[in-house]
Amino acid sequence: MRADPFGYFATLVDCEPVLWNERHRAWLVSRYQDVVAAFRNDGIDADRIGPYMSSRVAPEDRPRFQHMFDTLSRWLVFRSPPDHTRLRGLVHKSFTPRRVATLRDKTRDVAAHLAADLHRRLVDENGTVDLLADYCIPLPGLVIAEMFGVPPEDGPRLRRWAEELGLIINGSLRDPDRNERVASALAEFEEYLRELITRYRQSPEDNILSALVRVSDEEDVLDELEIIATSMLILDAGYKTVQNAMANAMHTLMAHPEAYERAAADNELVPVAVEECLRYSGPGNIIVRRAGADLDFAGKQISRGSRIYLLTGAANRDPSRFDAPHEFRVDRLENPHVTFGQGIHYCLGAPLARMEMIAGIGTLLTSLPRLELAVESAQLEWHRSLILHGVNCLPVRVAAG
Amino acid sequence: MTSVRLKVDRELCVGSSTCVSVASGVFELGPDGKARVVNPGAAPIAAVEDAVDGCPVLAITLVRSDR
Repeated sequence: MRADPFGYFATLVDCEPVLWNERHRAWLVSRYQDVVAAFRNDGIDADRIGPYMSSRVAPEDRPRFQHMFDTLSRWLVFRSPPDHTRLRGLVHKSFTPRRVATLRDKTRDVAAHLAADLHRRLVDENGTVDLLADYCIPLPGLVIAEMFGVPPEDGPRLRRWAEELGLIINGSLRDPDRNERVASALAEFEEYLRELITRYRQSPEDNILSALVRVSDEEDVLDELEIIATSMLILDAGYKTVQNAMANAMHTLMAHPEAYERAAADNELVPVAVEECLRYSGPGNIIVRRAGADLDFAGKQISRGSRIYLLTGAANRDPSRFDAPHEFRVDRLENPHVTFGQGIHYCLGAPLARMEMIAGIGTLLTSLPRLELAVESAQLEWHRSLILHGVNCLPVRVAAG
Repeated sequence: MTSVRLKVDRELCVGSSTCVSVASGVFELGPDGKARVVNPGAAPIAAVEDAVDGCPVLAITLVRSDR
């Protein structure tokens, strides 16, 4: 189910497009047009932190975790207008297609540098590398570090905090200590960010955090906990999602050698191939929402407060929207996939993610011989989460022949 | 005088409503959740340009013509 949930998704799309699932305690929405409608429905909101606090944390524990929830509930992805509009308005300019294009050369340089090391190990030494750890993780990590204003050498610490936060954010583990672990990671993360904020307050630089500090100091639009929360979100998303998207894309291309060769031979096909990879095997398969009111949705009565899973991975393969949806077509031109969502929460970092994917995948395809998995596909370990779709390790070698 | 033609490509629009918040009064979300132009003159041209630039999927075009 985790590696290949698509069979189950297809059954849902066919037979049960809006289904209550007792195990997940959520409504599963799978058809393309319903998922899009849900993203744009004012009665369906994105706050899953408040409900988590009230349903999953015992009343006597709540004071202890109050600060954690105050911080997480300030994340842009969980907020609704007008706060959402205000906060997104403060950061969106850093992620516009034009702004992101200015980082393209730098991203290509980083990619070329990482790929040169892979070339040595794969070709010169005829070895195996973990494409996730040695390429897909460091590439977006170094780019977001520079954009945001964290020293690149802090990457491992930031990634560790992001992993810990995932215990709640990705809703993955039934770890009994997860509240403690997340609270403790958040406290360290917050202290780290407060030091950086102090530094940029004294000597501003040209990066996102420095700009947030300036806005907060000059105008009464952003409090310090919002800077902290927004920073955590940008770093968390900047580190985690693109690495999974890129690793999944390479995994997909390696499983389709003909498509791999075509994209490697034709630079203009790379952006098209990237969109198809995002549709076919995106970095997440569901986006969690909650009914903000009693709803009559696609013929079902959904009561206020219910969890709703929007199955983007299912919608992206809905036959009523995509021809031959289960086929990976490297040159699929009409590709309105919902991997980045829709509506007011449409992924803020989408232009950045696209640029990084095109630069990163393009560099791998053109500067290395064709790669293949160095283990059986069935041996790959997938995240225990539907929110985050990806492998823990992606061992590759130069393809035979 | 400069005239301005403003267009939203509704195939591309994902309804992020960035334009609605950046250039208030110029754009609104239609019943389908996609942006449309309601009054091109309702905000300063700089705000309209910000909306064009800020669209995450580059769905807005602005054509100026002098006459």
